[in-house]
Amino acid sequence: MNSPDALQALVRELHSASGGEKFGLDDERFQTILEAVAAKYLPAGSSTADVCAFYKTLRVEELALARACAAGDEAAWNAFLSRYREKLYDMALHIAKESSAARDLADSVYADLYGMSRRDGERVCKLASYAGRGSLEGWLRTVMAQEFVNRYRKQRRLVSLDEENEEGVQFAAVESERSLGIDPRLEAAVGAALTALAAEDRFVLASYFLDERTLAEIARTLGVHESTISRKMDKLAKSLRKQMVVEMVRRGMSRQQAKEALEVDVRELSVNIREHLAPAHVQENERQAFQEQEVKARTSEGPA
Amino acid sequence: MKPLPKIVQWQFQKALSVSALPHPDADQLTAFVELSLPRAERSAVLEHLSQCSECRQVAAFAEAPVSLPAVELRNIRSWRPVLAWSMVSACLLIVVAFVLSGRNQHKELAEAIQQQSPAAQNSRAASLPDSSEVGTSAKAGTGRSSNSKKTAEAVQHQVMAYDMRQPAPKTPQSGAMEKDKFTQPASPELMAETTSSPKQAGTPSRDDATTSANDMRESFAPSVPNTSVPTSNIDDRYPRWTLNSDGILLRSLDTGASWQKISIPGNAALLHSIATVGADVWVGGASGALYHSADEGGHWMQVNPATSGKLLSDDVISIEFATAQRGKFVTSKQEVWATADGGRTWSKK
Repeated sequence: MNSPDALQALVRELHSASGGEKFGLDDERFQTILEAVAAKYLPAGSSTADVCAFYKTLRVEELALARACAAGDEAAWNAFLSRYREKLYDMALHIAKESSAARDLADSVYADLYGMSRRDGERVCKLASYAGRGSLEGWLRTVMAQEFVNRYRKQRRLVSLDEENEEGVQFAAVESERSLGIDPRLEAAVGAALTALAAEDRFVLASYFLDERTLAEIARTLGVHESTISRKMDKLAKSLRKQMVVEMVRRGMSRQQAKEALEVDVRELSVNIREHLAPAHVQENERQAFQEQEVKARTSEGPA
Repeated sequence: MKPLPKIVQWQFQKALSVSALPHPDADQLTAFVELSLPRAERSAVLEHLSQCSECRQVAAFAEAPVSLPAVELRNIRSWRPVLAWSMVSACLLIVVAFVLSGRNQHKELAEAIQQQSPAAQNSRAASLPDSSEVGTSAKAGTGRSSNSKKTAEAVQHQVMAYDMRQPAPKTPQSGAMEKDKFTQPASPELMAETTSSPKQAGTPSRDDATTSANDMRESFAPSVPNTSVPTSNIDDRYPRWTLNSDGILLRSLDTGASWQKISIPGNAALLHSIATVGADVWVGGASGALYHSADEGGHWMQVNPATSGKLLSDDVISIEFATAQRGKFVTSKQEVWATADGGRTWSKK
């Protein structure tokens, strides 16, 4: 059943279902596209059964449309525009949250999709990279999100230092000199506890504590109920704390010391680190000034 | 939920800020967000996302916006007190109406009995069941209203028994007397209207004050594909329309006495639904067939509703028009298409 003939029959069936014929995408070219997609995502030497199963998961109708657009078929472009032209701006507005930025973002992505840029003299159409793993609409949203995040990163590199301070980049400074303020045993314990977590658990923790996403949003991303994520977070927070205490005790701390180490406020650490970061001659001057003040005070008090 | 120690969060940020793994491409991220990645690939993407804040941001943005029903919920909440008080008011009105009608009935009956001769009273009393049985039925009949009971106590015991048997048929145990009384038609015309042939059964006069309960049920029934029931064209100045079980359009110019087949030029589709507003007639059928006549069927025009560049292709199973301009139809895929300009433009809901 999973012979090459079956694979060939499946390709023909998928081609028929894709409606690629009306966009000038013939059987042979469609097969070439499928093979390229399979080569990209399947490990080398995959069995025919695996390839068949993989082909069946592809969004062939949208794949044919996107590839026909990339090939410059006018009918395909008309179909694409009638389906997604209005949605592109809505997607951009959802991501950028502001009208002019959204328009700018949508125009930029549209130019990429249309193939305005050229590489080695050839037109580069972004739609040629669509592989049909997810919906075309979802893919467009992802491409737009990538463009938005890239722009944000570029923009951040150009902001002034004052703006960086306002954004609270003190973490970056602390990070560079972290070893000066943190007990290495604590650092090792945290590292060990985090490494022991499953990828999904780390994703949940990072999304909640670092990205400040809500439990509902995380649950939606993982396709589970919000209460499941809430329980998981509760369990993770407890087990992490317990695990870290155990690790620190194992590294020679007393239980009380380990618990106190966990309550250290990062802001206090940043103050200590700034002290460490101060140039040596400044520290020396400060020390001398303090000693002079002390001598003066003793002199004015007189002998006992 | 107890928060993580700040030192852990800080360390966490440091540890998970840079990933050594290659970034997943847009296709993989899309499939991840749409929960359509195979398990092994999903784990790999999740591993990367747990370490790459930028990809997490992209994935978060790539999720389709959720149309939360928050506004609707607020609307429901804001209407809830109004609805609650409306229900209370309606209940009070029903109780008051019930009590008042009960009093009037008792008063009329008592007066009628007082006017009758003692002989007639005696003979009627003799024909009644014995007092204990009567008392039981009277009790059952007055269970719901203390006012009815007080009124009944004002007349003689046996007379009271007869008096209380009159409203009794309102209870399930009671029977034939009340049934006969309430099923008697008010007029021969109404009789003809409610029991005539199926052709006329669907075209009751809606402005008639004596509309029966069946008619009320019909008028509030959900809209379903109409195949044999004529449309509710209440104005006899206009023809009546219906579709027969073969999906053929029929028109009657003599208020339903006779019907003639109407063929729509160019239509080969089976018709499923019809709606009329005055001289305007809308007919829908298989494979997106939708026709409109503005002159009682004299001329027909095919309507091709389209939205977002997509033409209607599903069966039109139900049509409703409140005015000549504003109406909607439902397709076999349960899509609702609406127009507010007599069918020139359509929006899909």
